[in-house]
Amino acid sequence: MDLFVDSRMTPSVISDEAHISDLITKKLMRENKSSTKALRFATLFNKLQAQTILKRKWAVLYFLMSVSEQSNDGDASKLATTVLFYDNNLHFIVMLINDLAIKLFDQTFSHRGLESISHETSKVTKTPNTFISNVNPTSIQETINEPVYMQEDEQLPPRVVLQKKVAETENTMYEISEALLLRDVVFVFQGIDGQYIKFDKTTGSYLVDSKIGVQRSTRELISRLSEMGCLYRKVHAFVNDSIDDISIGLVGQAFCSALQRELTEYYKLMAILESQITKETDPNLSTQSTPHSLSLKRMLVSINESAEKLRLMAVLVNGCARQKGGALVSYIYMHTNHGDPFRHEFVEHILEEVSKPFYEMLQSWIYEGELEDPFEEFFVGCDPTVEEEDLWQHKYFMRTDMQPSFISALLAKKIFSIGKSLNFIRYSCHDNDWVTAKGKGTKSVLKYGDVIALEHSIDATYTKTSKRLLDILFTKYKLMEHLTALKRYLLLGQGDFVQYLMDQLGSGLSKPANTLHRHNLTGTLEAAIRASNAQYDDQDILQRLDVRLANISAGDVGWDVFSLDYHVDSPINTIFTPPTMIQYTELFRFLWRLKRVEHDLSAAWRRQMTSARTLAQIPEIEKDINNSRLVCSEMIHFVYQLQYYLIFEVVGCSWDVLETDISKKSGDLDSLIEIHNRYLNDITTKGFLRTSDSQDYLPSVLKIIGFILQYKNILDELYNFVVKELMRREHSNIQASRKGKPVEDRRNKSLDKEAREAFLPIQRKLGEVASNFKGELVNLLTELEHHKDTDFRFLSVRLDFNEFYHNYAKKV
Amino acid sequence: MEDPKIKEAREVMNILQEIATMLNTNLDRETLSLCVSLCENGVNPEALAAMIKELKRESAAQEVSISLEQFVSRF
Repeated sequence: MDLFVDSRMTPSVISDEAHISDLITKKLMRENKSSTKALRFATLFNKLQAQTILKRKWAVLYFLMSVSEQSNDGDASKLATTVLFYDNNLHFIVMLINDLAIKLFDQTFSHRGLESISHETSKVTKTPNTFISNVNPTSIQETINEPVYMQEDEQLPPRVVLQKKVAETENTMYEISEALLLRDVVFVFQGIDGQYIKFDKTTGSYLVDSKIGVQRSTRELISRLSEMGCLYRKVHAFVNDSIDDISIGLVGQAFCSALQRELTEYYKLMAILESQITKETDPNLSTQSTPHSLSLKRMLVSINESAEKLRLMAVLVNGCARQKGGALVSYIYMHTNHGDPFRHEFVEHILEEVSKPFYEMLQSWIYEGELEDPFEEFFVGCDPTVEEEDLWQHKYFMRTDMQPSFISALLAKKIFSIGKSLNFIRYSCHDNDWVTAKGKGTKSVLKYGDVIALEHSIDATYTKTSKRLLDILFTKYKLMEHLTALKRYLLLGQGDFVQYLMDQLGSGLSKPANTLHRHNLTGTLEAAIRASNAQYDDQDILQRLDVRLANISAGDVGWDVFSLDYHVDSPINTIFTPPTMIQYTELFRFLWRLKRVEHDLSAAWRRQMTSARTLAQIPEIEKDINNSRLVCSEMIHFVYQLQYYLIFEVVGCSWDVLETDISKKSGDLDSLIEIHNRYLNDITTKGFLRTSDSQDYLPSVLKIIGFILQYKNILDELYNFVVKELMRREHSNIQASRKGKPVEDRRNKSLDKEAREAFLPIQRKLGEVASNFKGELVNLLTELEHHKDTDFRFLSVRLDFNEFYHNYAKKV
Repeated sequence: MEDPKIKEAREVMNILQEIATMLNTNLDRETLSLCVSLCENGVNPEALAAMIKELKRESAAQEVSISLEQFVSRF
């Protein structure tokens, strides 16, 4: 109490009585709507001024005014407590207050907005007044004060009212000296309960014991200071829990150690504060407080920076729960994007440390291809169960959730590819030396910070590694030669070889599939190689060529099951994957079929040419023969054009694209695989085998091919018939000459009844198949004409060059 | 006949008392006269007011604790 009187507080007003009287008048006017009190005060003040006995009138007046302010509050609190206890209905009051608070809150944030508040409060405040008017006038005098104060209380925001109520229970007397509290605060900073300040579990914060007399302002100050204690507890608990926990991974441990380092800094600050406090409170030294001595406010200022750091750490600790590896790095990186340079720098500093293990993993991955990642924190994962065969495609995978956000998707893909390439070179291409040499060679140490430098260094490594990998594939593993071989043998690029094979196999393949023997076929294949220019090809490639017989089902002939095969092994089977090889086989089977048709047709043509004289012996069928020649040449035209289209337009053009793409030698193995896949897809799509849209031409083309083969068979029948007929005539001539009858002129003899019966079905079938062929071809042409791809349209133009089918379609 | 000075002093006290009631200070005449004389003797009025306020609060707190006891004793 002495302190108050002794204190050198100076009044916050000028010592002028007129001024103070003004203040009092204003105050009275404010509190009472009527001006009677103010007027009364004016007269009293005038009287007072007339008196001479008082020397310091302003002081007395000022004192009265000050006490007056206080008396309001005091009465209000007194009232509140009396109401609470005498009303004997604590719950009701609390509910009332809560209700009011909720109501006000709802009203405030409802669509009606803030304006509704004034209505609401006026409604509420009206009640006490109406209540008063109903009461006996004599009792008003006694109760008048109370409702007025109640009214005032309720006009305050509900939260303040509640706070006020709570504050009543606090002892706000000035009893504990600041030095003692300071000592306590330092304890609290270290998460230890002080003598007066204790951790409150219900609120989760440090509070000054409510029974101990501490001023309200000091309490507030301490609660602000003690925030540090809570934050420290949180960070410290996290570090303690995690430092021994293996499951948080390397990045998590780095994070812990970074936090630990920051905490050490914090401890230093605590030590300094503590020593300062001890020095000041040491009884041997002067106990007199100097202007530079430590106070709670001074403390608040001096810990400001550490508080900020602790706060950030607590935020990081909060958010990083159950995150690890790249995700944790991403999370912390997110916090570096802060406008405050202090925060930015601090988080960056932590991130630098946290990302260290991550960058170490990255380094070993891009320089040695090793994954040093026992806790699955890196964004590249490895599946140890995958065989070496599938190393490129399936062994490694990306964990996108572990990809730090400062590494773009493109960069991550490059990093992924670098390590994969290194492993591919090492394990699939067996070029361990290069990888080891590279790992030992110059390498820039990567660390968090300069993303551009990182990108640069990764780009360089990426180009170097990819180039090396492609070099190995193209030189050591002769990728280009394999591609060429596939084109020549499976896509029928080597004409003489295919022709020879067709000549040799043609007759054999017409037999049922189960009579075919693989060894015979391989023998023929070898013969074909020897007989053609293929013999000059690389032995390694020729050895890979093989015959494949697909699964035989009942009724299949050799044509259905036969195909050529090309063996690929590691590492080139990464490019020539099994699905790719199936695509090649499919292409071969289709082209082989066309080739067979062409082969059959040329055989038919040869027969027509060679047997023209024989056929002319029966003039009755000459018209049909002539007709069949026309149809045959139509068919030959169709097959030639189709073959030309497939070999030159489809395979040739795609090959050209493939060659130019490969010669660029940019990108990695993935892009090479993509180029090759695109090449194959182009061929299959344009070669009718795969439909790019709803239209599917393959059935139509196959139907036409079927008709051609049918026609050829019927033609054979026709020739057989002619030969038989001529033989019969010859026979009858010989018989006639024996009997001495004159020899008839065979040439102009018409068919007899029996022969006519045998000929008619052949004639009919010929006509039928020919019209079927034409009909289907016209269908195909009209569809091709409207295709959006120009290549298909050109094919239709080529097939229907002089609009022959166009006119035919019109006629029909 | 009274000393005119005492008379004047009483008059002043009357005026001050009226002002005090008007301002709801809840001070009785004796306290008021003591406070006025303190002010006259150069005590800082603001500090004095703070002290009065403190004393009042204490007495109020006592009352609360008494009423709390009564409240509890009813059960």
